[in-house]
Amino acid sequence: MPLDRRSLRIIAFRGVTLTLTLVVVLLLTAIILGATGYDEVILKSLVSEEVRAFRQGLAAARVPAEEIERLSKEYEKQLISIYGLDKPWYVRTVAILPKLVVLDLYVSHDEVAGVLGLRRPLKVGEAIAVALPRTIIMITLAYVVAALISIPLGPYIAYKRGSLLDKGIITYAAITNAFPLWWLAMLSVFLFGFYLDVAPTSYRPIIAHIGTFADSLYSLDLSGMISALARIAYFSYVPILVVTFATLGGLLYSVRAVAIRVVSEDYVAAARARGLSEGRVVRRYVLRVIAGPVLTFIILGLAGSIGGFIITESVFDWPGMGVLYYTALSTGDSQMVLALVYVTTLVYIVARFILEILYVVLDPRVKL
Amino acid sequence: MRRRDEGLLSSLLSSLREGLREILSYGLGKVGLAILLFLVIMSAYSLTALPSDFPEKWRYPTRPPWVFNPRSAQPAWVELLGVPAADTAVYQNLRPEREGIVLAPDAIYRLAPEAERALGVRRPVFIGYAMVFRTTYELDSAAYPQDVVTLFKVEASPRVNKTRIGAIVLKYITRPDNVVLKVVEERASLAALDYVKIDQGAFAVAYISHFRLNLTEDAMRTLYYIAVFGKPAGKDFEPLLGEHQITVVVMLTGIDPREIQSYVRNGDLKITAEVRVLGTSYGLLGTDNYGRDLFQGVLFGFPVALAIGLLVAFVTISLGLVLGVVSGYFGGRIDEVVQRTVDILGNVPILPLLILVGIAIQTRGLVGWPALAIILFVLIAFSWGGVAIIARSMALSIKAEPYVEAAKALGASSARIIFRHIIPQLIPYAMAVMVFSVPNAILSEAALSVIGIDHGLPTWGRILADAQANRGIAYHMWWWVLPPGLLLGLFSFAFVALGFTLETMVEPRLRRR
Repeated sequence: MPLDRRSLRIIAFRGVTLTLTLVVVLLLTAIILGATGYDEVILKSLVSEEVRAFRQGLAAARVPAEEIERLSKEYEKQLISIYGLDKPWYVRTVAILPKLVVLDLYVSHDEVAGVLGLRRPLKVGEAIAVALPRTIIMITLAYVVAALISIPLGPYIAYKRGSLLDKGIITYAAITNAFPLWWLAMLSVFLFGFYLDVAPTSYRPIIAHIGTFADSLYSLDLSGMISALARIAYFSYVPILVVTFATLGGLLYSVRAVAIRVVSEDYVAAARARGLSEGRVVRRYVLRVIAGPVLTFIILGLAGSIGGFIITESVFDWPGMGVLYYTALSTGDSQMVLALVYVTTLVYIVARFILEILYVVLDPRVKL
Repeated sequence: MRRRDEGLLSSLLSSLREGLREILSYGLGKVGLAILLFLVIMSAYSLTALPSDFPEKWRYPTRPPWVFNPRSAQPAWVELLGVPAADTAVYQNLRPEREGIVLAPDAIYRLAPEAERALGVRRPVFIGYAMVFRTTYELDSAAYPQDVVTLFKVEASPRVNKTRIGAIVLKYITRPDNVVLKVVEERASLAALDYVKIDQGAFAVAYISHFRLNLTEDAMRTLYYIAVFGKPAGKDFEPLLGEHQITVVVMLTGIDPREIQSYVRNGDLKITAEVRVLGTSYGLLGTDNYGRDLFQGVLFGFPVALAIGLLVAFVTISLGLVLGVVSGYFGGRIDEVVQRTVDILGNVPILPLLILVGIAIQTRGLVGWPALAIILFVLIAFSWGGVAIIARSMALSIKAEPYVEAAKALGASSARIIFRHIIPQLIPYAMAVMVFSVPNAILSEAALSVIGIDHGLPTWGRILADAQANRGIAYHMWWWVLPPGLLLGLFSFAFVALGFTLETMVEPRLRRR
């Protein structure tokens, strides 16, 4: 269907709103970082720490006392201008915004680089490129599994509304909805790691195994690849199971909720009356109709999973996007924080935008 | 059919009634309601049972009263399941069993024969006034108590100069094998007499020589609690089951003993002791690694969870309802501003933002309720959008109804139309959404706590956060990780269950035919 001018205008308008959202989110983050004095406190302690180390170095080299005083004053001044502490916070943050758009920023804390098993100097883009696959093999993978189960099963239970299966699944959804995912993660570390001893208690070492896998992939070493893959599986099966278990309930309930409105439509009843098999009715008359809304929340969920689950990853000590996010926040690495906010929001917003276009293209009734 | 012109309150009540009827007709709803009732009762109990300075106490785990509790103790009832555990026993308000003037060593042996029989004692030469407190602890399970603490309460009239009187505290344990250990000898002024724990070195040398152990004094010191309540068996120790008599002697010196005696007889000086044998089990839910009573901590969480959940849900929904209706009713520029704000808020990643705010609060040094209030405010500010969208669309359709037109024609003000004709009709919907969103705030608070945003109040999330921070130890202590999480889940499950049920009320198409 060709896009008319009206639809184009609608899409353009959505695009502007979403871009505006991105800008607002970035500004908000920058304001919280700057205006509350948060990054200033952290930068100041960083400066005094470095000056202290510098002094000690000079003292060890037997530099005269007044010389130490002069040199460290100079060094402090230099650091203050490097960190931008001599300028107001808005200048400091605004200065990095253009660089942020192309991710031309550097990680400024060793601890943040350490999460990834890397060393500084490190570009924020590289940091994200390392952390992202780790989050994808745990959270995004689990989400995909949950989605693949719930797409056929959701309409089926909607169809069987009121049955024991339906009630059971609603209860399951209510329970997984109620218990925080990160607590289930804590429990699984307790149960599988400490009590049953069939899984690791800390998942940080997976860095090494992913590294080995990448190396053997590069050198086409098949046996190395398989053994590394086995280690990765050992380190990832519990988190994947837990995240799948927790997200499945909510997804099933959402698919069921969408399908229920369709299942009670007359044409479905007509199809059943014609004696079509239940599987056929679900596939042809229900699934097709609900494909739009179901795709919506699955795509948005996938886009959201890219950012990692900050707390769940922390509980597992899983060195992905979530832990990167948290370490950057807690060490006051404002450039890394801004880069993460930017990338995750961008992914989400692009997903939203694609969906907006799909709506307008697929459904002529969609109006602004 | 509901009358169109009923007021806000009566429509609230009638939808409550209708909701309750609906809830009770569903199994899930009944379960939810039962849990809710439990939560309310526990909250009420918590408010009456815990002192008002409880959060303050909880924040400092290395101060009393927590130092007088066993550390990492499991719940007392697990003993019934066959897990060996030494009970924690508290003997309060002990009065001197015997007391009197001591001028020669024999006098003290008459008052407390243990003093003579203890391993490795030299003949003490004390002159003063002695008080002897006694109690018996029964060790009935193969485990070693962690410590024996004695707390003193000194009540003295102004006539007694407490700093001039010295106090020597001696503590003896007479074991079932008839070995007597002197576990404490401490001196303090009467003014500074507060509590004594077992002195790890008091009996080490005598113990080694008595049992002919091949251990250094330092090794003995680290084993002190095992040595006190156990006896060597081969290379190891085994717990000594049976009655352990605990004797505490307080010897008051420094002034004429007869003067002290007259103070005691006239009631000018009264000393009571409390002996606490710190076992490996404690209370209903055990203790954490600092000795904080987890039952009290968890109990404090009930009213806080209910208050935070209901408050945030109520404010969020009200804000969304009013802004949504205003946006739909007035249209035009107001509508545009509200809708664009909703669009933007809906895309803001809330958790990172909350973490950022939380860390900013911490660097500013805010603790307690103000810190929590700021977090909740941010939560509210970013979550009213969803309700506003639906309230707006509902307002749009109600606005076009003839009776609204009629009210307008009769000269009703916009405020009157909004609050008397539109919002009352949205109440059932708002209630369903509110019930659903109650757990949101409390789960967000818990999540923030777990990753280390410390507002300093003992909430369920905070307790789990402490467990996560001490994960190496805590993961061997199920009583630390399970109860707060189960309660968090139970809490939100109650509201989710009620919400599922209420949803069928608001959405008639979901009703079973």
